[in-house]
Amino acid sequence: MKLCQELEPLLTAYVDGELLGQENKTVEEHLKQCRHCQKQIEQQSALKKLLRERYRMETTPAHVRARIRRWLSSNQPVPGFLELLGEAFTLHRFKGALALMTLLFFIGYPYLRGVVHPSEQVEGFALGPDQVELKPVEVEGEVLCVDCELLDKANLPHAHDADHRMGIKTPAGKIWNIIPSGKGKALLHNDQLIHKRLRVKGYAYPGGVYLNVERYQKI
Amino acid sequence: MLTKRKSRDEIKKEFESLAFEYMDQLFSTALRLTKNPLDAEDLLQDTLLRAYRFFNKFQPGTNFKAWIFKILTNTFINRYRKQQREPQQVDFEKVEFAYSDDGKASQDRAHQEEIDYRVHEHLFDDKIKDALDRLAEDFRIVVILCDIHGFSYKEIAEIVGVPIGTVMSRLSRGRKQLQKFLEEYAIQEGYIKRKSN
Repeated sequence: MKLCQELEPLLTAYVDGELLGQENKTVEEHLKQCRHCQKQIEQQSALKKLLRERYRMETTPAHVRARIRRWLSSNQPVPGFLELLGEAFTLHRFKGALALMTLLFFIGYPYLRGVVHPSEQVEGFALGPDQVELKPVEVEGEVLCVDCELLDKANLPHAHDADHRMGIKTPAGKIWNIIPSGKGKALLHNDQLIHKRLRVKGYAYPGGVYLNVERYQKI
Repeated sequence: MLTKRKSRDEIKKEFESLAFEYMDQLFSTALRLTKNPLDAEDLLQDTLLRAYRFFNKFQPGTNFKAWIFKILTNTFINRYRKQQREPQQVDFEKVEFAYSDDGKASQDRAHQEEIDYRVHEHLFDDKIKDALDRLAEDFRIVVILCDIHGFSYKEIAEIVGVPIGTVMSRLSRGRKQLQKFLEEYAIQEGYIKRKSN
């Protein structure tokens, strides 16, 4: 029986046809006289057959395939900075976010120090303390996930996330971001609304990219 | 310059056709390793991203399948193993979500996808997948590589980064456990006979 235990790994290799020469001979000799090990071989072969025949390979979900195809057919032959950043996000969401925040900090630092005033930089965007002028607007369009849209446009591999923000895309292709205040809160992370058409009343911030939602209805 | 660009395009095409050829096998393995569809998606993407980046190091004519499975296994071991060992909080969330009538919870589509996968998985061959999932990770990897993907011991040793002897003993022990988990199912399906006393 001790011999049987020692031979155990060799029996496995025998089943897989991985034994050569002397080892193969040893096992075959042993099998002739050991019912216990014969049974082992039979059972392992049956198990191997069961796994081979009955294991159903899962298929890759269509959205993952599409994403990978998009990424591969993008025009960047070698993954560049954006891919690396994207990779950081897919691999380590937390560390990736940290990296991005650091990056944004360095970009934003001159603004923080008051070196550059925002209004000097972006035309039509005057967000000084007493300059904000909200324009009442009525917007019609389709709800989309702004984060997914951005990542798609950059050809970065990504998955939709509960933290992603919704926006509204007008038929003309303009994308409105939603401010998380008032009714906007109900819209911002509600991905059930994706692809739904909405009519939204609210206020546009200077520059016209941000929307303070007052009310909305499905159309 | 022109020839260089063309060869790059060719490389990309070659990679793409190989990647799509093995994608389902990789995804299926990623699912068995991470036991979680969302992590499996991430693992698949990371694997392909890294494989693409290092594709110039791959020697044409050698074994692409073994090469990319090695990347998958390495990526999993380096990055997902730790996260995966977290306690059962995640399970609790899933359960709470699955049985909740609260409409708000259904907003989390990621979780919905995960449940869809689970339902889908359980319709087919759940016994085999459940049994594999119960194996210790080291055993699970070698059993999957050998019995499902048909790699040789030499290839498995290369993929997992252990000596052939270790592959052999892990397989031996892994199969032994699997036999226990799957005995009833194997009898029921006519793969082995019931023990006659």
